Amino acid sequence: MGLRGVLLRYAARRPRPLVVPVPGFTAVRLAAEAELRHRGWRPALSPAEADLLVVCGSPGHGLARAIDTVWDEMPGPRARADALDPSGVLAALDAPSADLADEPTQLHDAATRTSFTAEEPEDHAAMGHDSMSHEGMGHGMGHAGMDHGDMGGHGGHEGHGGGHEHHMMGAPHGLAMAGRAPDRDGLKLDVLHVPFGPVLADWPAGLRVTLTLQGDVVQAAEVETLGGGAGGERFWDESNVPAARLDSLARLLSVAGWTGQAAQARLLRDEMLDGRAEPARIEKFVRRTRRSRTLRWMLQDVRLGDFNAWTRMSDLLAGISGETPPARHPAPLGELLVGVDVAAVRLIVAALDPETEGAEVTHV
Amino acid sequence: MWRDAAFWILAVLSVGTGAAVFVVDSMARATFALLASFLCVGAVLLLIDLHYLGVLVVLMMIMEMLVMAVFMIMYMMNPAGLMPMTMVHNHRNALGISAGVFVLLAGGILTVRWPHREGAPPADPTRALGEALMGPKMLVMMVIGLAILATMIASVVLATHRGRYDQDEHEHEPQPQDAHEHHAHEHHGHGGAA
Amino acid sequence: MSESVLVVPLLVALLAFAAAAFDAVLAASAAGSPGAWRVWDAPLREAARLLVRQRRNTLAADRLLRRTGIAVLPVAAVLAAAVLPLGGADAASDSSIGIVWFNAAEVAVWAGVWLAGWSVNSAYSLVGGYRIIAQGLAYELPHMFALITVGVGAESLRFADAVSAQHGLWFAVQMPVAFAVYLLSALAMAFWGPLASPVGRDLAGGAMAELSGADRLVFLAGRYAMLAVAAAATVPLFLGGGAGPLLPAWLWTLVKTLAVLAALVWAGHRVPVLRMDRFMGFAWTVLIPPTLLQLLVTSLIAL
Repeated sequence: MGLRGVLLRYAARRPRPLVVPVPGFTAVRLAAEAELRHRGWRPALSPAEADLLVVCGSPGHGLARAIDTVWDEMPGPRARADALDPSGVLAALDAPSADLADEPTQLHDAATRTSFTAEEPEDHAAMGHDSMSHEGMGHGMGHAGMDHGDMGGHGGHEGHGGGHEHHMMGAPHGLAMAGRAPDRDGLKLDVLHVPFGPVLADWPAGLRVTLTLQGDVVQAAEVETLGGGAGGERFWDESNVPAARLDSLARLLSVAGWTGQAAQARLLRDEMLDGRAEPARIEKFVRRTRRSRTLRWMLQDVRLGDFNAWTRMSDLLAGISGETPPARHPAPLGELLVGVDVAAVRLIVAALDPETEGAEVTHV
Repeated sequence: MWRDAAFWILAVLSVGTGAAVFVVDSMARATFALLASFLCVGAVLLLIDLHYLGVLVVLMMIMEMLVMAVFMIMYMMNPAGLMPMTMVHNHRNALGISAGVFVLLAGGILTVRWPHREGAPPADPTRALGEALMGPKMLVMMVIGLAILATMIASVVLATHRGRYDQDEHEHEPQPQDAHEHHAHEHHGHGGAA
Repeated sequence: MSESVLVVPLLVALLAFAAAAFDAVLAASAAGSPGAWRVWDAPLREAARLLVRQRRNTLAADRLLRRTGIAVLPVAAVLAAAVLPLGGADAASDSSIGIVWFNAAEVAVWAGVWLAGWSVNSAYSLVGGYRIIAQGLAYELPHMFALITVGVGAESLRFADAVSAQHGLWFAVQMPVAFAVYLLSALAMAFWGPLASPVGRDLAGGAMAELSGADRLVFLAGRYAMLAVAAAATVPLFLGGGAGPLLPAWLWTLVKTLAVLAALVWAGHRVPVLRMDRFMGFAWTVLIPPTLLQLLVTSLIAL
């Protein structure tokens, strides 16, 4: 039991969980979020940051594959918690956090990971296996790399050098290069195909949007939904509309970077579902959100059809207060995303917050 | 003594990293090798007590190389080592030209009769520089400054008529810095929606 | 002088820890976690966690550039801190061009973030690295004008002279526009809070999305250090340095630094992130004219 063991146990008291929502298992996600909050564990944003993968529900086939890819991308020490129902969250979180503190378990995990390819020599890091390989076309987000095709690890090194006139030689690492396409100014520029979701913080459960990017401007977008597995059910219905609005708002506020207010929205959501929300605090939340000029400045140019993200947020706020907002007509997600930059993509998705509960694999 | 050592180390480093620009196989590495070379030159200026000029070289070169990085991403989306490429082209002629230029410059350095120092360096070179710029050299600086500004504006105007992000020109941009108007603005912006 | 060389990195580290701890407490308190204060040790646990953690090496990453970029952040923060006067004691290096030096060290941070974002070969990180340049170009001009205004007011580029020029009236009062712009660019220097889009949540962490283990530790430490140094520089630039009644100068410097640092960290939780396309237009069309005006007014007073 050396220094490493001591550090492991010290750190494992407060791991950084990456929460993966599964369509149809919203109740599990809410229970997990509440429990994480209670323990003071701050959620992670990416697989590289996380050491605890919390899968909330039973994913369908496609989603399960994406989650496995993200799991493969998580550096050790790591642990995985699969919670199938709200009452199981507590137990599901306890066992893996004990694993995180356990040095032999982690060493064994690091030694037996099959998806790892040993890195080229030159680099020796903390735990010996300091290597990750990108796999397959981007399922999770961690892999938002390039549009390389399916490949298990490092393909052989292509020779460097040679060639001429600033052109690229071969396909290093066996990866396909970024393709090229004309941009709106008529220049022929590189494009990347970058998947967003389904494992991504503050992102609708099971949604995957594959963007064709030039710089950070979207040239094309493909939207699909990866569904949940058996046992899922619809959670949001007429009985809990205000809480559903708060849930959407929390994601929107979080993507907009107003973390304090997003946390407040989640807290109020849970209190509302428990039936112990104080109207005065909700009132204060609504007032404060509506009053933010910075937020309006950031949202009002994000178009969603015949309205924009700021009006959408005002609608959500109205929904919390029990008012019925006017009917809006959003354009299809895939169309809205073309021509905007990545920051706007996230705001558009968060503002529209497409319903994915109970959906099987569909193309929206 | 240590100044001599530092000078020679910096000199070798700046030439070495300068040469590395043509040896490395990625645009990013070439850019930052060039930056390293400039930083060494900036450090040499610090060494001869031209503090202001030295730090200014460091500051401006970092910014310039980063602006180059923007162009790099504009033309080429593959980050990192994905796309090894050679940093030289037109090999034979380029070698000839650079050898010629080298001989010319080296010949100039060796043959010219360098003046002997008259007087001592000023106590505060920064102040001396400022006074020179604001005094005898003012006309030159004004002209150069105006020319650079005009070039910048002209190239921006020529390059784009709608901006990087395709912004709607008719749109009103609220200015978030004055907090006093919060209340006044609260209701007429989106009153209908609430 | 020689002691300060050792003291400065230590002070920067302590301030960076204070900033990270306060940030963790604020996050826990906003989330409604019971007993938010007990997460004050979060930075220590996070450091322990990252020390035993594997690095994440994405395929075809440029390891040399990644490590260079990451290392630049803490180094730049300490170099920037080296010219700040420590209240009663002298700065580690009382340079006659300290303000320009500070500016150069802070610009090096852009290079660090850009390198970290570019080198890991991930589109999220790439866009994050791209944003730091856009942000830099947006805030740097108003920021430089603010620094120049201080230089003109003090008739010197030395931090110590700026402090002694404020014996009558703090620059924060004499040149409020420059002060406000400086506070905004202090956030930008550490890509913090409203100016955190290079490491934004919408990019799953942007330039640091793929960093893990020691890489992430050094990056985060450098970021908090830069935030701390940006806050510390406010004191000699605008808040009269160690001037104040009763308490010794070093203590006043510390108190003021902690106050500014706390305000910056707090702002990180209270304001939405500014999108670069919006901020760019705002910085150039709204921020630059008043800073120039402020510079003109200060120059006329100085004459």
